Amino acid sequence: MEIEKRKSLNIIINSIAFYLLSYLIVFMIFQFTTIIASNIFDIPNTLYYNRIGFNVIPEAWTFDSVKVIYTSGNIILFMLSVSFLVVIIKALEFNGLLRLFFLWGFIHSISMLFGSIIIGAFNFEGFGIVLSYWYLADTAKMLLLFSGLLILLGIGMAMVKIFYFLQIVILTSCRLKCVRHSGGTNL
Amino acid sequence: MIPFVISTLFLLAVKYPLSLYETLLLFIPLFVLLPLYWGIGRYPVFYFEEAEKSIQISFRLVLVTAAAYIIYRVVLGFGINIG
Repeated sequence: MEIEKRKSLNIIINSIAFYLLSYLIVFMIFQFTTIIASNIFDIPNTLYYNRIGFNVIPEAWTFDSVKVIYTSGNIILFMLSVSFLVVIIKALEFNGLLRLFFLWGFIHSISMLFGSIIIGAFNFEGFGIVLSYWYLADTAKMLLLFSGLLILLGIGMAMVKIFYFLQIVILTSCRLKCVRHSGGTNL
Repeated sequence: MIPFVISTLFLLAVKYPLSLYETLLLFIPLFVLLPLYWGIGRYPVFYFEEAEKSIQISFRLVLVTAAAYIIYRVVLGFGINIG
């Protein structure tokens, strides 16, 4: 499929804008969920652009509060990713660039979800704190790390078809029906 | 891949300084995007008779994104006390 350089540039700029916007929304939902969970345990906090500062002494943390506060964001990320995926699949038959927002939103939410497990497996931060409070052995953490990576790669492979069809639908005036008629491929 | 690379560099700059955890988290989408390169070549190229779209830059989208990031960085740069 031949497209001019100018058109490619326009697509890239729109895609970057949607990527950044969806990241900000997913990230802020994650942060606010963590804050709401910490308020349930009466832990005051300060929200910064790159972190949440919990204004309590270390002794104020309990097993339950650590687990709930650092897991709540991940639960919301899972629900967000499922919602975004449903919207992407439903919106394949419609026109418009807004689908890019949901596509990037899905990638952000699923990456943050599994990323926190993968990175937390070897880093005592974020979801890693929960893993440490579960007293997971190093072997279990390694299994989590590699399972998470494999799941992410699997999701990437499963998304190929959706990316391919979105690329066609965005670049041409054809909608999904045209794709079906020309290729005989069904989603 | 280009939007991912440019956006990640932008996010690294906007969110500086970042912990190792947060920095690595920004690169995780790479594991979802990489398989697209392996898989997309397996699909045949479709040709359409219909005219191609003229895709324009959505200036409203770019402005909204820029405004959202300016507000995010300025307001949360000071920090908001909650609870």
